[in-house]
Amino acid sequence: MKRNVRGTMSFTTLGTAALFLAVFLILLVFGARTYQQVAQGQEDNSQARAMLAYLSTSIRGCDDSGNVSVQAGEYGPVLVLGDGSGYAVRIYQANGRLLEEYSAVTAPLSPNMADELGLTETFEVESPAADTLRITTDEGQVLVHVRSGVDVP
Amino acid sequence: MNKQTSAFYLEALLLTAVLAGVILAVTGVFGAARTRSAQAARLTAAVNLAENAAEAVASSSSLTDVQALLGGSVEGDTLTLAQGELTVTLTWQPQDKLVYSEINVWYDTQRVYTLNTAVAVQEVAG
Repeated sequence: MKRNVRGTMSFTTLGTAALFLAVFLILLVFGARTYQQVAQGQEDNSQARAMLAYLSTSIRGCDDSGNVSVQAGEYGPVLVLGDGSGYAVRIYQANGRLLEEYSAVTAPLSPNMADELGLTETFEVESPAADTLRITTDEGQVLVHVRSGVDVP
Repeated sequence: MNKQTSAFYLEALLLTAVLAGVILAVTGVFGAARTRSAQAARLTAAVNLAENAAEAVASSSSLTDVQALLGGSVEGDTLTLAQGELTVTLTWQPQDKLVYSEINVWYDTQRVYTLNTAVAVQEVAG
């Protein structure tokens, strides 16, 4: 009788330990997946905010007569943000990266020397209305009213 | 059943209850984290939509111009635009040489973001 009770107690002890272990592992996996999802969401939000806000802020920063224009380049549309000195910040997409370089307006684009703003396969710049630019990237669209006017081919 | 056995079972029962409580608490925290993450993504999208709508207002001289830029439907002085799970409503209220606009972004019936703007226009149209 005593041996039987001990056997039941050992079984219950092992069962409880196994239950604890199983629940611990399930919680660990569930928690890791939740954390991964939250971190990914944060990363996506930051990337979207950073890229779109940077584009609109850069345009507003040089919103002066004749400084904002769009050109067709060998890599697609190029957003040209000049300062009247013959040099300009040029923003364009090459090899899945959104790039920015400051150089002479007439100089050829050199993606190897440019700074990377983020990753995007899409970079479209259009003018849906007078003095307005709509820029589309993988992170979404941004609409900017250029008060001084914009030259679009 | 002697005292030792009873104590063991009581202890096991107590531990199981504690485990169940911990599972409930942790699952609640994980669920809240996912909900907050979804809310943050929605807020980012809402802010972007509202800012674009504000720029459209700045570019326009009438609500029809705003509609041409953003799309959506106009009813009275309000433009309504559906964008995925979010809906944007934009009012156009001319007053003197200014146009006041309240931009709201909704998720179902819940207001996610509000942006108030005013722009000066040369010829205010209704």
